[in-house]
Amino acid sequence: MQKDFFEKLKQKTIIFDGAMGTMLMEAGQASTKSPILLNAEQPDLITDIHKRYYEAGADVVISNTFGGNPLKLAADGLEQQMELLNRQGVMLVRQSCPDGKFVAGDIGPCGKMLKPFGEISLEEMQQNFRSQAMVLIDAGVDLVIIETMYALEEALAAVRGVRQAGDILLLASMTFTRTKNGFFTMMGEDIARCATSLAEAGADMIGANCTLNSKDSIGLTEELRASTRKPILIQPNAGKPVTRKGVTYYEQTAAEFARDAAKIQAAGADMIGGCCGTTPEFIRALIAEINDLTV
Amino acid sequence: MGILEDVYNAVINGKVEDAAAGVEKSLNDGLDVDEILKKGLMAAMDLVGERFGEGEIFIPQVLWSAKAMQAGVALLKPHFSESHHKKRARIIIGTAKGDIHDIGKQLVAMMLEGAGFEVIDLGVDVAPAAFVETAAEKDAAIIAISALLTTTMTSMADVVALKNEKALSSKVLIGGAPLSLEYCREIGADGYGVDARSAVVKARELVGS
Repeated sequence: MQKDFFEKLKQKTIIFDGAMGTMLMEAGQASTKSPILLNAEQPDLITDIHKRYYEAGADVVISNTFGGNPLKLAADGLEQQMELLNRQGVMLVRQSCPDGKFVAGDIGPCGKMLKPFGEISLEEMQQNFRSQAMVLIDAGVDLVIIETMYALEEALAAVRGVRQAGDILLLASMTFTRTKNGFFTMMGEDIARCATSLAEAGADMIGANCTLNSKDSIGLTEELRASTRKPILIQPNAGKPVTRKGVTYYEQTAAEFARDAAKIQAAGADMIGGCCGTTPEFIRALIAEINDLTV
Repeated sequence: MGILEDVYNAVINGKVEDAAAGVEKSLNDGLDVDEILKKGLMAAMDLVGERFGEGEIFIPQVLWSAKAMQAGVALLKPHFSESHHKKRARIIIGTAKGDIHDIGKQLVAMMLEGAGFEVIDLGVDVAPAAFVETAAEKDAAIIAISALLTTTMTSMADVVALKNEKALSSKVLIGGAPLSLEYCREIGADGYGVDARSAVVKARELVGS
């Protein structure tokens, strides 16, 4: 599978799916608890979203297991369901996945801060990432994606945890914000440092997702491209969320996002997808835009 | 300035032990408690907040500075006069009902403390009734609510409604990634902080200091 994925990477820009969380909100499923619960409670809803992304042309769809870290589940009293919810999450993508396409197992932040600011040690963090990864790998994912990491130390604990869990294709994606001095994580780590450390820890591919819109992500792509020879994935948000009369929507249109995606591709991204606020329409538009350019 | 400058620099640089030692020495030298607090500790946290807002420094530096500041405040506390205790405006802070995100709220709580407020942190997933009841019981000037999710921020409106129903004079200050000034106005909250730094500025405005 690892070989298939890299073969495909040589042929084309691999397209990832768009958002899950904001799609659920749109469907009126704004659960105040963890959205991962829907894997068990409303599997048809989740499967439907996965299918729509594959139909829109995504090569890779990410499982609804962002909140599946045992530490995060414990905050909602769901730690007993860790294995069930993660396993079920992978199964729902697998059921929707056409031949020749891929299933990614999602790992998000654990929601705890490391000592000395928080209560948790690096070892404990790594063990929890390992536990989640073992379930995802055993459930049959083609690759694991660690994403929306805003602290390099936590991302490294996740990479090491996954590496301990088993032999699997691994992508690690950080969240950067733009400051007047350039792109940094919330903890102040720059792109080059993140890319180098993640690769050294064992990530096969490097990514950046969330927070930045598609326009800001063009510059980010250039910098990330210059920092690593590993394949890179860029998943911007559809702009910022705007709330009017209790309804939330995102600033950017699919067409705007798609035009920027073509520039992101030109700047050296090997893989492109969408984060918060993106929909199957965004993925369809970005594929059309990219194909226009390559034909 | 001498020793106060040492305290100030210790907080800026996040040196917890140096800040404590500086405050201790200032007290031994007979410096005014209020002056140590304002010119040493609070002035430093102001600059830290400003640098953070400008993207010059990041969360770890802010947290270390806050820890240094807290170490200094702890030493000053036994020396606060009765009037001093009364003068410090009280803020009840917590993350909105259904939301378990802690980091942003913690950061704001530390910055508010650094700015001289007495902060009571109710933690995460706080019910509207808990905000309002605690604010009434503690005579809080401000209820500060944080949310990271568009799905949980709606409970902020419930806090405002409940507070009005109980005719409580506490002001409601809101903040968090999905929020906006527009939303703040829509639900009738009193202030919106776009980041930790502006939350402090807003809090000061709300208590008129």
